[in-house]
Amino acid sequence: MRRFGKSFFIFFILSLLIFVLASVLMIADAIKLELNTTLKTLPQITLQRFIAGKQSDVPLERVEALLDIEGITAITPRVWGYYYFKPAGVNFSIVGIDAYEEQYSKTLSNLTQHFDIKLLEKENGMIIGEGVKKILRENYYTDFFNFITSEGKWQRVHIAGVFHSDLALESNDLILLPKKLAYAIFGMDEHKATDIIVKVANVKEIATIVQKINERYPDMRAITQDDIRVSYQNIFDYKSGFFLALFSICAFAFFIIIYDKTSGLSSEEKREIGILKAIGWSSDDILKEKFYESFTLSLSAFLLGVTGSLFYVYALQAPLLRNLFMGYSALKPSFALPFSVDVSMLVLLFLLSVPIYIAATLIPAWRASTLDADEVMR
Amino acid sequence: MIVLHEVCKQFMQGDEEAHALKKISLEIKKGECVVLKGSSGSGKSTLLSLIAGLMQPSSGTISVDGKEISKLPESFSAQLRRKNIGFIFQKFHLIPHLSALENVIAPLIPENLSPNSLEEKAKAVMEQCGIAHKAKMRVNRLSGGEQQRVAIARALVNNPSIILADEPTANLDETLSMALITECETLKQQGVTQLIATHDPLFFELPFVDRIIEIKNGEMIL
Amino acid sequence: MHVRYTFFALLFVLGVTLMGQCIYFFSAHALSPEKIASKEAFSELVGLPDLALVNEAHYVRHRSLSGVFAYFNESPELLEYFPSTFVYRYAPYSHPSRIERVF
Repeated sequence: MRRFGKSFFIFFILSLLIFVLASVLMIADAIKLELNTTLKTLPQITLQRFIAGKQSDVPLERVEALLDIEGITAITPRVWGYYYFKPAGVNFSIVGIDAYEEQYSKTLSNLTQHFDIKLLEKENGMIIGEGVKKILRENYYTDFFNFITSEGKWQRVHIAGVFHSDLALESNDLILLPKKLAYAIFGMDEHKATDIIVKVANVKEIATIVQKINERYPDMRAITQDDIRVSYQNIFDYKSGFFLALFSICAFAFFIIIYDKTSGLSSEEKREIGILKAIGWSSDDILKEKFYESFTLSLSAFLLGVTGSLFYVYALQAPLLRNLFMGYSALKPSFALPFSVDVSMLVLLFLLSVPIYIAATLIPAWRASTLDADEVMR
Repeated sequence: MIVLHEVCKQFMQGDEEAHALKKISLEIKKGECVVLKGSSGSGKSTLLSLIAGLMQPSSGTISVDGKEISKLPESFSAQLRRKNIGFIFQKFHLIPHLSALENVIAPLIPENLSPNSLEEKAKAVMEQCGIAHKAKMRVNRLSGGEQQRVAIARALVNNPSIILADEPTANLDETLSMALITECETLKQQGVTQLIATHDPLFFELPFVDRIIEIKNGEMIL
Repeated sequence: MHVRYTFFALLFVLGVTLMGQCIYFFSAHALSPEKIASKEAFSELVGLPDLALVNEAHYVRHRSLSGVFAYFNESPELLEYFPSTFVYRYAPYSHPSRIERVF
């Protein structure tokens, strides 16, 4: 009972649907995994200052004042921002850290590919991400880069190291500089910081401390680690945007296949069932055969779709599809996502495809096989 | 072997009831070769379908090998049909997109035999019917006569004890008809019960035919 | 019959390929403890959330630290950077009342 052309078409469409869905969900899961890996090392509280609803720099005097609040163990002002590199049309993220102290050098040598400590010691070295290095090289900067400060002056900074390719997803567009340089490049007031990070003694006290900070400085907004966790959980809103469009299209295509199956067998298929009954097949035999047919078709479509999507996402780095998740900037990292298989996602995909397809095939076959063979054959 | 007792069959044609068979009582012994004679629409095909269990009688009983088939559950009646009865249909009723070999194998599939033994059995019977050379060809590409032979092979593949044939020579030329008649004679010698519904005069003069029963307007003419 | 065996063979091959891929990718691409440690060290050093996947705009690159005005930074209307803003949702605590999508 194989109508090869039609069966192959259904097989192909089913595999394609599962392939696309599985690929997108795999990518989404991998991105979430990557995000959640570093969640607990992020600052416990990040404080931003808002003037007229816009983020503004925080005066450094507030650091002293905030230290008075009980429960706070450390406060670090941060300087970071973006530098627009016009020739390539990209934004670099610049983070200023305190002049490279001894405590940092071991960490930095672990995190970077080549690390020149002498350049760092001179205090005008920077550590850049792989994407930055690539863009600079394309613009003929190999060992150093000339920033244009807000005053219009050139600021030469040497490349002291490049972050490991393992860290590409986090560091691709990043430039780590001494704070002094950051201030000069941004043209920021040295008595201000971009934001402040706060460390607390007891994690359970974070909410209380945030409340105290808000009372002291109502123009400051606190982003806690928990807030970031919530932000990560909602990074893909499955109810809107791209995912809604994707699921709608897949559901629509699948619905059409199922409708085609359940809207009753064609007279030819009914006749076939009648003939089989006439030559001695019982209804059970017919249903068993139909079950094998639909089970092997849907299961192999499912396996092919999942196998294909695993290969597509992890071996090929999802060409075309990755553009959805990476945008069109010239500064893109390699799409080397961490491998993780969410079994519950696969089980859900399986349950939404295989049993439904089998039911859609068996129900009309069962209806036809309960009729008298003679009636059906006429 | 086959016992019919006051069998009636009615069909609904629109709002009216059409009587295809009216109180048919008949007994066919094991090994008998019986010819059912009658014009089209007389009820011969309906009678054969009832005996094969393809439909239920409106009233009366039908027994095959001592089992009342009208009362058998569906899986048992299918098994009976598969193991004991070979049916040659008037319109062949082959599955068009399958090959000749696959059509002949079809009745054997529920027996769960190995693929090799299925093929062996099918090929043996196809040789017998002279259609083995077209085994791999799709049946919708065969001529009428070739399809007829595939249908006959399919009916014989299970070594049935009863053969029911509905106009078996309708699409055969004289040579092939004679070949079929020889086959019927062989089956008669093997003790196979045969019930042949036909209006081909070739069958009315055959020496191995035990009885000729005439059916007119659903009634048996004795 | 042959068709059935062919399909079972296909299922078997696909199943084996799937297992093989899982094993290979797990060994080659999974997050090993060293990788996790280096990512954690990096994150502690830099302290900024979000991945560098999208570079189009501040509110996509550092979406967890963005507020309402970041979205309107460049112009009075909300600029869509398709497909990034289509795929990634803004942080729920940024109170974007104006751009709440209501169906």
